[in-house]
Amino acid sequence: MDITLIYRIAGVGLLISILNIVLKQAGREEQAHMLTLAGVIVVLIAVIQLISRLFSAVEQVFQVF
Amino acid sequence: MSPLYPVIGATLLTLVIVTHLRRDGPVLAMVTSLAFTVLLLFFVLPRVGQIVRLLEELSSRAGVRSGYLAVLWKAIAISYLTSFAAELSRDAGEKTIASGVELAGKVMVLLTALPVVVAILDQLVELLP
Repeated sequence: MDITLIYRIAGVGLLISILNIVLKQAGREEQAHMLTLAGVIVVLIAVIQLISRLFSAVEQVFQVF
Repeated sequence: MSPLYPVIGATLLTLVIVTHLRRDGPVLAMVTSLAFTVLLLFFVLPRVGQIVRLLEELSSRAGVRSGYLAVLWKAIAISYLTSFAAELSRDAGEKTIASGVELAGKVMVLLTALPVVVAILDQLVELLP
């Protein structure tokens, strides 16, 4: 049961929320939104690779091609 | 029983992380629950593989042609992946997308089951006098 990806996502989420607070205080609202977007994209790339591994695993288990 | 404990622990931990992430970003929360479901699947799939091999071995001993069994596996795989996507979209609050995915899944399962239906009908016709 390897859930290091969950920790990575949690780390990214935490980092983003802290940096958002800092950016908001510095008055740069739009950079905060950009940062949230960047974080989501980074996580999305990792999850998409995971999903492609899922599909190949399902095909391999059910011998469905 | 013991391999289950890490799964339960991981589930509770992920619940905490998801509820925390939902506070400042619902997108990340949804992606985390998606990632965790996939990881859970990686835990379950090898065991499902054992069940599949056992059923295949039993059915070959019973003389069932393996073609029909392949259709069964395909239907199971399709229905599982479809319900996986449908539940996730329902979780994200998109009921319409969920029903759309389910419709697509039903059509695909029906498509894979068609040859078996045709084969059964052929045999039925042969039985008639």
